Amino acid sequence: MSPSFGRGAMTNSIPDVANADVIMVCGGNPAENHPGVARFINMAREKGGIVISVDPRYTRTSVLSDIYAPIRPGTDIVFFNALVNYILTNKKYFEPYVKNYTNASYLLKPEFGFKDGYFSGWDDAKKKYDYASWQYQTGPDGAPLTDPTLQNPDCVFQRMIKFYARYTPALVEKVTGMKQDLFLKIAAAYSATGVPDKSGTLLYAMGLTQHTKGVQNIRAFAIVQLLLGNMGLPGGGVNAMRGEANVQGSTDAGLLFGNLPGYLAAPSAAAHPNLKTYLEKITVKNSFAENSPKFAVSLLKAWWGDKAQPENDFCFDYLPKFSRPHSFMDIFDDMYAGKIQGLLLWGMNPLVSGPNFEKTAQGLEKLDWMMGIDLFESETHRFWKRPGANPKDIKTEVFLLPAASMVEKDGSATNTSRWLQMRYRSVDPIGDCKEDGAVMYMLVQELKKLYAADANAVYPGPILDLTWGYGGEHYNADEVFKEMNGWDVKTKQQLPGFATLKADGSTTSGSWIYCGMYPPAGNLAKRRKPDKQGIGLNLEWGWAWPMNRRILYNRASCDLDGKPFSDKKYLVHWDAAGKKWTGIDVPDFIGTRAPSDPLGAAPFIMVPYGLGRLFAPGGMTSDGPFPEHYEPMESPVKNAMGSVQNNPLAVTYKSDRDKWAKTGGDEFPYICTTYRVAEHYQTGNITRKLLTTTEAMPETFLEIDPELAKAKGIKNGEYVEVSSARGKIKVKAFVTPRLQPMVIDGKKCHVVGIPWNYGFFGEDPAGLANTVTSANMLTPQAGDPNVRIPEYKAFMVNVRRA
Amino acid sequence: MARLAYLFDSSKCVGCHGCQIACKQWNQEKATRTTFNGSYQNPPALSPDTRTIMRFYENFEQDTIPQLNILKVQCYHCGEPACVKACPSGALSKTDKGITAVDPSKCIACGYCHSACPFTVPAIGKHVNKCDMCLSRTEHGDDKQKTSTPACVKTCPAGALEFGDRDALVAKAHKRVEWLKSRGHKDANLYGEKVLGGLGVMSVLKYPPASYGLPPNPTMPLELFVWKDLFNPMGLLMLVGAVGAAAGHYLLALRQSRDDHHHHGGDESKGKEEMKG
Amino acid sequence: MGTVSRRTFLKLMAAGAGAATVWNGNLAVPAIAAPRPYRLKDTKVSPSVCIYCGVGCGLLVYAKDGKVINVEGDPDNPNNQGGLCGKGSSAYEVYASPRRLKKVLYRAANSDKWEEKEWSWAIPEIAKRIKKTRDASFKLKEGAVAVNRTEALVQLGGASHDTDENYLLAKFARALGIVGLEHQARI
Repeated sequence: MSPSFGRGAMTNSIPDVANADVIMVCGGNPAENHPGVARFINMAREKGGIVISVDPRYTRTSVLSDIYAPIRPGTDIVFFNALVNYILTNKKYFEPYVKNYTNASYLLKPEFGFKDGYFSGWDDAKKKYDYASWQYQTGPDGAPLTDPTLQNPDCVFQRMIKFYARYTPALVEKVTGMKQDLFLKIAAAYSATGVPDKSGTLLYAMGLTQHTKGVQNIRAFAIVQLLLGNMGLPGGGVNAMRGEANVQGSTDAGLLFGNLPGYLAAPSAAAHPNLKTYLEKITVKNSFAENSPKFAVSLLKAWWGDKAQPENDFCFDYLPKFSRPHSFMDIFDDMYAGKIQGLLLWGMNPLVSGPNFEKTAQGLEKLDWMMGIDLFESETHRFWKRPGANPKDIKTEVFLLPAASMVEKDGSATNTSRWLQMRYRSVDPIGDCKEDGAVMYMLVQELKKLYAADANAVYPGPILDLTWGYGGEHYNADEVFKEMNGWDVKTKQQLPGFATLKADGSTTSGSWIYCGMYPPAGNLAKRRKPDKQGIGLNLEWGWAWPMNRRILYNRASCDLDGKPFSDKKYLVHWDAAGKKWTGIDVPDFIGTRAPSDPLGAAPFIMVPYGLGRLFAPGGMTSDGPFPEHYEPMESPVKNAMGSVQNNPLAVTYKSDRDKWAKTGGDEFPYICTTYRVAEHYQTGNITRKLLTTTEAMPETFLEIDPELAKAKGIKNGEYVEVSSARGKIKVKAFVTPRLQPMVIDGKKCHVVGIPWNYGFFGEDPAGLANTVTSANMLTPQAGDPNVRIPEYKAFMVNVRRA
Repeated sequence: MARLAYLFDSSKCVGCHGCQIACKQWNQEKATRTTFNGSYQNPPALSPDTRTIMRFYENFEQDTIPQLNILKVQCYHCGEPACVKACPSGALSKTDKGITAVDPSKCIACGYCHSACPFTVPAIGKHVNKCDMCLSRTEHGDDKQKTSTPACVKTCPAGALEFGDRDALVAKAHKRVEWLKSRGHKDANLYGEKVLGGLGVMSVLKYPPASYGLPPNPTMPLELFVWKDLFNPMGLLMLVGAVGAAAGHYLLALRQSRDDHHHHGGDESKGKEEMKG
Repeated sequence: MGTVSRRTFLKLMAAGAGAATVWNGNLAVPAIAAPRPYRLKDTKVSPSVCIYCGVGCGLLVYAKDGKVINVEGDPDNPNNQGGLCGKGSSAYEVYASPRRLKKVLYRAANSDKWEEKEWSWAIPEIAKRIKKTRDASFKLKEGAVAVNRTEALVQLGGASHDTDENYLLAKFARALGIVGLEHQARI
């Protein structure tokens, strides 16, 4: 999403789903994984909305749909690109939006092109792209050259018509298995939102991201939304439904190797040798990101306080710099190679959630020590007792700390709609349980003591100088929020918003996107005034980043002059008399920037020149400026698009446990996908310990279509063995007509599916401890080149009666 | 006092098991050990520990879309409750709001209610257990916190359950049926408006009742009518217990033989074993 | 079919015996069968947020005598309007489950069991290991560039914690020089 619009977060909100005229659910299953969304889907339908469910399985979400279409796992780009082609050829796009708010008119370098599965610049020896040709033609001021008529053969729009022409309805049927007439029905229904008074939304989750082309999947649909003018409207947007209560908050906080809080880049050795180059690199001219140095310096001031001064580059060297990727899969590949000695594990169960279970487990055996903190003992904590392991041979020391639960501490969670909502301590923690904030405080104090006492300690500065208070062992979350928001160093006054941050060290802000949530008036996340009459924006319920804006890019709901395209989809407008933007939402724009300003009609403020990117230039999506279909790493068929079978930049690993099924091979002939069930949460470490949820969904299963079951002599409820090139498990079969065989390129293909919520340590430790039923025994370590998310959703298996 | 009812809209339900678990949680009933049995449905049936469950029916016909038909099952709070009629001990009664209430202290666990019920709902453990429309909430709770709303209705994340004045819900349900028909579900129907004196739990269905394992025309068992409405007023009141039991036994046996011919779904028979426990 | 086990027969006999005395009980219908105790009387209510998916459903937590006795949906919260799914409805059990960890546990190298420990022992032991691993693997320079990092110590997790804690986790890890820092968004 970020390459398309400038930010990666969900654009609209959960209640806003009720405002949609057409809801496309593809790569997500909200009824089971985000059941709260079902209320708003139902509300949208009652108001006349249409729901389209595209999924390999007929799911509990499909029950709410008006149109259901099955699709082969790993072929979403073909479906989305064909939708783009349909919109372009049938002129269903919203023309003023495409012309003015996207880069459709930008002229591309003539040498940019696409041939035989590769974009221009491919170096087959290095297996890399040279991105020089993926650029706009620019004028003397560096601004892109444009053709507002969209006629120039080098403009993005014309290049798209050419590129997308290959994605026909016939190709959809051939590659995805979706029947042409069904595709055309969906295309007609969804493209009907390309008018001012209608909006369509995409609800997706890991079904689009967990592929070796996950980012391009999202890009593909983001392009649909830009063409139809569905961004910045109520009931529109590209809505990534986040799977964990606070995965938005933890992403915002920069708990990823490449990010600092607020999506500032984490420094790398190659790109950012010092503060000066770092600040230069994060400054993006002609976009709001030209303010990034203010955010970065304020962060350093928040972390190292008075020690951070201009003379020492505000302690920039205290930040570690990476030289290679350290994503989840990289970490476990390193661990398996014995390169990691210590693991700090905070409320996560990677043995069950990571791909290639056995590789993960053997990696954990190579650690010297592990610290875990959790509500429940997980499979990862007891990996040394897993079925088949001999504890006597495993050296890893394990510390397991008991955590306070959500009713035993104050704090907050940032939901998928970027809303910050408060939790309050109802009772004291049970037993010896402690709040994580208190545990971190104790660790930091102890480390400061150790480093202060050791004259030979290595580089102790970042630890000794680190600011850390927050009420000490009586952890006070409010103190943390104050720091995240930031204050004026001189006056100690809380700041009202990130517009007041400075790069000279006079302000602090631990996470600039949260600046504004704790102004002098207090913690705005505590607000509890629901919006009962309006369209569900809820401006006074909690607080949303950035600056309480509820629908991102809402400037795009207005025409060039700042007048709403449609009163039915009203959010904001330009108040000419008052010389400011105003409306029922907080404008996601510079509040006083007039429509007549050079950037006054550029709604995507985080992008240079503020236009949505139909074309992603310069390798910001490393595997292509437009999304191209490649087959999953394991596939039953050759890529119908050409000779390049897989994403040429897909991330794979080379250990002895990284094994692959042959394309179209007989050994593993069935497509397998993984998912979750409504009754269990993620790895099930909580819900498989609870009696009520376990009663409702006691065991894992393999969903299999009746035709395949019959051919294999498998009866509903009987045990089957599922195997992949990585491992095998024994689970019960769930023979269900909700899966149907599909014909792919003339070949009949069967899709089977298995929930990944299960492991080996559930509600009944005695009964279930003897076998591993984790779906990740089967999955490969392969990932998207941009975000390195593993390909859990499409791989090959075999099935037989057990 | 107007009659209260639930309206369950199967076309809005996503089968998340929220109602089932919220019911257990509020009524403090224990979870039982279950195994995967070839369906999303678990536990397989109502039981002394389970007052409501979701049932899942899967259908597929060539050239149609698959069907996943979800039904919430609990006591239907019939307008003419066979269970109340059959209950020899006064443990079951009808409140002035139309709720079929349970007084466990009076229950002798004879199982007549279970046998008489056209839906075989009441479960007999130490005593009868079944939905009482959360009287423990509706009598006391706070409207603002919705603790006066039955647990299952309050928790439904899809908005598929409503609770309130029955007449108003009937009117609403008819609108929903019309809406479903306008969306191409020609067989959409409201189940329970008129049968058995009008059910206190009505269901909006996309497909015919049989697709949800529901008897299209449930009736009060004839033997119950004969036993209670003809014999009883004529003085059988004075019969000694043993004779009454023999007659009751006959009723039970008859009823069970009917059950055996009446299959809701594959899991039904297993559940019945548990309920007889 | 129509056969009756001995147990059922005995039950029937008991039923019959009872019938003679209470037969009329259900002819005169009481307005309310019997007064029921209200579980939420005199409880303290605190709002919270569900710990499961990203929707952010509001919870109301009911506590009495220092213990949580009930959790249900927050009707004011716009995300759920009082609703909770099957997982969310189990929120009370998350608090009350007998399977909750209540003590610090330690597994020694090559041991086949957990030992219960105190915080006062565990925190210094963990801190010692962090320092040892960090210092032994710490890289000050790569060429001319100050990289100040360890690749041998990694940190995972965060999505099940509060936003404030996430921020602290980032600050904590970076201050230690950790570059292998990941959480659930990636998987």
